[in-house]
Amino acid sequence: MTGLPSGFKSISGDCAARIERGRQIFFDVFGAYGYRVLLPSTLQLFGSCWDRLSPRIRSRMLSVNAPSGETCCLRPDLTLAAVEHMSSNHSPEERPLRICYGDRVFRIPTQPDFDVENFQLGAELLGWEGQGADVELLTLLLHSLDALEVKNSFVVIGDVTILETLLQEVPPQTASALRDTLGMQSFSSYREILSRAPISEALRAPLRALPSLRGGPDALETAAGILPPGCPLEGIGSLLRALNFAGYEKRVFVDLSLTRELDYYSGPIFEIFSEGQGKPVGGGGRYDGLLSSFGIIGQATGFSLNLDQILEKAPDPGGEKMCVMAWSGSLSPENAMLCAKYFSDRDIPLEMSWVKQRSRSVDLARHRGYRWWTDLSDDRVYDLLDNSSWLKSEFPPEGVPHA
Amino acid sequence: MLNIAIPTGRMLEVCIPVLAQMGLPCTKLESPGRSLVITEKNCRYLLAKPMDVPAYVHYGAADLALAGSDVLMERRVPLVELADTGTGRCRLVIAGPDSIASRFAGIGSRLSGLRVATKYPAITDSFFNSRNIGMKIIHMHGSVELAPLLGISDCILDIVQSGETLRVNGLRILQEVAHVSMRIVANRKFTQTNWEMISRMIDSLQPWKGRRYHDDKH
Repeated sequence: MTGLPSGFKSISGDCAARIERGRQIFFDVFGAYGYRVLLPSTLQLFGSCWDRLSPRIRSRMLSVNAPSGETCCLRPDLTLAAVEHMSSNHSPEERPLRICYGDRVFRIPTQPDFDVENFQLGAELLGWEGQGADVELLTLLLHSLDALEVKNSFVVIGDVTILETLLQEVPPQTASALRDTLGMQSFSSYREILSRAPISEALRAPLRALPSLRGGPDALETAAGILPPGCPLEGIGSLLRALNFAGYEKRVFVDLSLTRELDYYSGPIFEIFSEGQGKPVGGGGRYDGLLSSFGIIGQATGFSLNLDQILEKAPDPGGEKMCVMAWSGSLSPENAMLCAKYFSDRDIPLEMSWVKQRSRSVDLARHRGYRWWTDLSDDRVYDLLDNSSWLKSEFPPEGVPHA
Repeated sequence: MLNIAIPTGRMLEVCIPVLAQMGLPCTKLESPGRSLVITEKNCRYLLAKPMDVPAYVHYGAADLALAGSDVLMERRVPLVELADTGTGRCRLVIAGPDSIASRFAGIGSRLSGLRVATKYPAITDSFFNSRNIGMKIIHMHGSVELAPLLGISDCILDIVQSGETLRVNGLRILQEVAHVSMRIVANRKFTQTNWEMISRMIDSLQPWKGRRYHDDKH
């Protein structure tokens, strides 16, 4: 009996520390560029989400009733929650708005996953009317991946308007089927539908080539020779040039058939990959249309990262920083707390030990994996590895890790 | 090293000629013994239960895989489906005894309350739900033909190749659900960084590419 429904989780110990550390690193990277932290509500109005999310996400929403009787859902998407908040709480004069968040999203899991709750990190830049928002966000995203020590991460950039431009002359039913199969990444079905589509060969050829137009920057040159004039390649081109200039040329790829599960995107989009993960660890892009559905005219761009996925393969941060077990011994609690302040004033984390017997306190420290133990009533700190001791004034010894 | 998940059992035999066509080394696969991981030149083959193959690709343990479209439909794991190999062809059908055939011939409401034994609960649920037919799924892991014989279910939803097993057990096809064939799938990350290699392998399957079971006359 865990007290939690299947698919939900409470997180503690090292795992919780890693998530919190990840959130802090992310907030530090984005905070340095003026992004403010948003703590969105866990509940959102069901209708508001339903109208703006794709059928695939809608079918995974978890509905609940608010005490007021309104039908709500557990937040299925943080971008939506963020845009909703920003549109109703900030005046046009405050734009552009820069926000970042690190919180849970709730979706009914799809096979083979079982988790309903997942931690997401994300950032949004709303209401910017000029160029630069996409470059800013992608550059900071790559910074944050480095800061989070995500190994061998890279970004794949596409643009949803390319497919939409090619589908303009395709009969609506066929266009919808092609869009769906590409969304599901079912290239065999895509090819089959395309081979039977009642369209000219001039239209069929670029659509047939679309899934193959991917790779490094040369994929854009190839695309320019295959796709008809008027296909919006410049958006991706300028992004690539900017990211190459910033030194990310080996970590940025192109995929002109890229689509996203959330269908509110309306321009350049991207997915993020990392070592040891077959599926994307995150993604995002431009969603001007979603923004206008909230009554805001202008550009909007954002992304989210699945923190659980990133942490699966992240290096061990080296355990919790708490490093000294401090035994109160014969001291009164208030005196013990006063003596413990000596350590906290020097940024040396500790855990109090209130047991009566000294030996039990030492055993507890060993059991919990502490290297250092001190009796707050004397002036020494003991190394439990070799039973040596140090004067408090000389602690921690140079070159010895805290944990 | 290219990591490829392939299904064990009789599907393994179907996979070997496909892998050979793709230009991959597969001599050791012909006699795998009890090994679940077989390394040959620059390929590492992961031999997995057919239903588990999509998960290996999804989590990135395998770059590529061969999987039946029935498994992909059932598991619904988001993977990149690169090509239909045209091999391993069979059909997903609903089969049952003659006594219930009339229920399938009539209107949908006559099927309400049907008990369906199957190894494919997700496909069964989706198939009947999309037709607004309320039924009961009896999830089994093999020999589903036994269920209607013993009165546990009214019919089954299963794959059928020649139909001989159905005939022997007094069942007949009542409705077709889907055509099944072996597909080549990959994870999204692999397709983003190895498209040229993938294209070469898929192009070597040219005679089969795009050919579907339902194009053929039977």
